[in-house]
Amino acid sequence: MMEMMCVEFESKSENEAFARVVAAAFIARLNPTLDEVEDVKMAISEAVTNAIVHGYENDPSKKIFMRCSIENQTCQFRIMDQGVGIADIERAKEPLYSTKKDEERAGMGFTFMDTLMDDLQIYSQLGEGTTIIMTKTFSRG
Amino acid sequence: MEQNCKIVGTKMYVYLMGEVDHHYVKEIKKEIDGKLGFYIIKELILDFTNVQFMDSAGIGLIMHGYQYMKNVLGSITCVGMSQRIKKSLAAAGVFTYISEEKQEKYQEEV
Ligand SMILES: Nc1ncnc2c1ncn2[C@@H]1O[C@H](COP(=O)(O)OP(=O)(O)O)[C@@H](O)[C@H]1O
Ligand SMILES: [Mg+2]
Repeated sequence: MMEMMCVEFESKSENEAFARVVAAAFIARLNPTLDEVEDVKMAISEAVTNAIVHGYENDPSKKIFMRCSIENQTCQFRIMDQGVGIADIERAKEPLYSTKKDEERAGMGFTFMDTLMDDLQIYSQLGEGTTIIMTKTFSRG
Repeated sequence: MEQNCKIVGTKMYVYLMGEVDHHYVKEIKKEIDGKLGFYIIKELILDFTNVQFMDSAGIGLIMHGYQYMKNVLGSITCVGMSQRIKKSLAAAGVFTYISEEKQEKYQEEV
């Protein structure tokens, strides 16, 4: 049986913490280890921050969607924005690559999402938006 | 915002607190940059002892401090990092240009 939740929130930096807490609370039913919870919080934080600073270029009137679903021990996390989109996804995934180096962005967001989760998929269209889909299987039931 | 920076001679200690994400970094960067512009600082020490969560925004903050200190021919040091934080800094190659020091060296000055 699949379990699912969905939230929509404003593109404000305060909501980075909100999204982390919501995702962590949702996966609590999977009895995750402390390390697994930290992995999820960090990956969610990276994806939501990207939607805010890159997708919506800090426009707080825009909305971000987060959907999490659980099937057996596997959770799928989706973060969606309807922002500017990514021109070159392969490039964007490279460690230390950032289009906003002048703002001291580390360029490590996608690298962390990729290493902390079991799977990372990026769908993006210029002018349409970006959807990040991450999946992680939790070790104990 | 409460005082997060302490200046001792030409050293500045920055006590990072709680959840170091993009939201937090925006604020503390203003405080740090304000002080760096006002005082003569040769050594910047970032203290991670009370950090509960950190994402790549924290790495961005370290890179920012490193750039500034390099320009004034000073140094930057990170202390009190958890294993988890060290792991993410290593992944970003941060230890190739900043030093990670034992906390004891600074304890008496804090
Ligand atoms: N949601 C998004 N919308 C538009 N561009 C994005 C989005 N997420 C990531 N990007 C692009 O991918 C690049 C790499 O992202 P990331 O690895 O998180 O590094 P950083 O955020 O530090 O720049 C960003 O600099 C940006 O150009
Ligand atoms: Mg990012």
